[in-house]
Formats: sequence, C-alpha cells, structure tokens
Amino acid sequence: MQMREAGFAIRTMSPGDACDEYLAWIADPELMGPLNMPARRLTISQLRDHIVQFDNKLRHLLGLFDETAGMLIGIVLLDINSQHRSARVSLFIGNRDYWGDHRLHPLAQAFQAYLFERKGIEKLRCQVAVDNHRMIGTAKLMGLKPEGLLRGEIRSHHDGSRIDQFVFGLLKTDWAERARQ
Amino acid sequence: MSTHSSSDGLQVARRLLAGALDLEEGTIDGQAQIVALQGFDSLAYERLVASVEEHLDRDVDPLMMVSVDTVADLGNMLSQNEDRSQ
Repeated sequence: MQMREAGFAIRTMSPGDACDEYLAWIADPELMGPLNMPARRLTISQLRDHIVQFDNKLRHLLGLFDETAGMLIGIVLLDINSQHRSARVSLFIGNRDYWGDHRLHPLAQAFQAYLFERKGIEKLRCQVAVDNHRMIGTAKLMGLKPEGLLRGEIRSHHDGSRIDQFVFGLLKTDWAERARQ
Repeated sequence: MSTHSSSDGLQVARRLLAGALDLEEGTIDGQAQIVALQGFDSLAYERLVASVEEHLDRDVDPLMMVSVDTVADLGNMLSQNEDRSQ
C-alpha cells in the first residue's frame, strides 16, 4: 500500500523503516498514553520484529512520511474485515512539529478515497478514548461521525481501570455524498 | 427557570471558538459546522474543549461535547451547562 499527496506519503512499513525516531515515540508516555499503550524501550531489532508481525493484508502497519524532509512522522494501523468490508483505523503523529499540520489533509483525504474506491471498504471506523480530544478532533475533521459510547471498553494499562471509548464511523455512501458537495 | 439565554450561549460559543481557532468572533456564523471553520484541526479542538471546561469551571460531559456539530449546538450546550451550575 502506498500513496503520495502534496509532499507527504503513506506506505507499508518495512523492517528497514525502523529508526530512532520511531523508537523514541514508543518510549514516550505522552504519545503512548492517549493510545492506552505502555511506553516501552525497544531495540531496533525488536522494532523490526514488531514491524514484520503485520501481514499487511488484513493488518496493516503504515508509515506517514514527509517526503520533502525525508522522514517518518507518524504511524497508521489499519485492520480490515474483508467479510464486512470494513476497516478500523488508528493513528498517531509522533513528530510533534506536525500536530495540527493542515498540509497533511490532502493525504488523509486521498487515503480515504483509496480505501473506499480501490480497497472495497464500505465502512471506516475508529475507537477513541473519551478524553483523547486531539484524536476526536482528527476524527471529526476527517468526516467520521460519533456513533456511540462504549462504556468501559478497554482496560487501562496504567491502573487497570476501565476506559470509555467513542466509536466514530464513516460509511462509503456518506463519504461519496460529502465528496460530491 | 433558565438564567442564561441561548443567545448568551451563542455569544460565549463564538468567543471560545475565536480563541481556539484564532478567528475574529464576528466572522463566525452561528449555523456553521465547527469542523468547517477556518483553522479547525485536532489541536484547535483540544483547545476548544479546554476553553469550554475553563469557562464552565468543570469537566464537560464527553458525550455532550462530542455531539456538538455547529456553533449553535455549542451555544446551546453552554447555556444548558451554565443553567445546571446555578
């Protein structure tokens, strides 16, 4: 999977993409906390092992790259349910310089178009902790609508408490309607 | 009895949005979708939630906040929450 738009690219990660920046993100509690993932110190070798765990057919590990700067700036996880033609997406921008960067919007739009038009996806969704306002803002910006509250959906890695999540979704039909406007 | 009118809420909504999105209050249409306002992004939304909570001086119900689509919705939500804190 690969696409380019306006100087940015999203593509399947390969073991060769393991880098110090990615290691630093995984070790950063501020970045991992909102994803409910523990900050971990991995080696480059362990990170390469992690990258190859994804089959990139149903479970995709994708990198967001600034092609002009020639660097990885974030990660997208994509889980596809081929039977239901749905996909669940989660992402984080590891490089803080790109938080709220409007230049990424064309790539995000192109990625949605790719999923709906070329991958046969009919429903896109993401689940976000109710206090992850940045990700909620991203979901809204991308046209995903809040569809419900999942009470105590996940367990906090921090203290074992149950965490509520919002489900956001976007149907292909709604996306196409929005694209027409 | 409501002590805050929806127009008060709309005025506050415009002020909070102007601060979060770095816009002039007067340019914010009450019927506009918040995501369609110039300057809206993930960080702006985070700032908006923080502004709303600071204004109300308490955490806002996440379900109520996530349901807000338009500037007018935000104004109504603020009015309702201010009434509750009386």
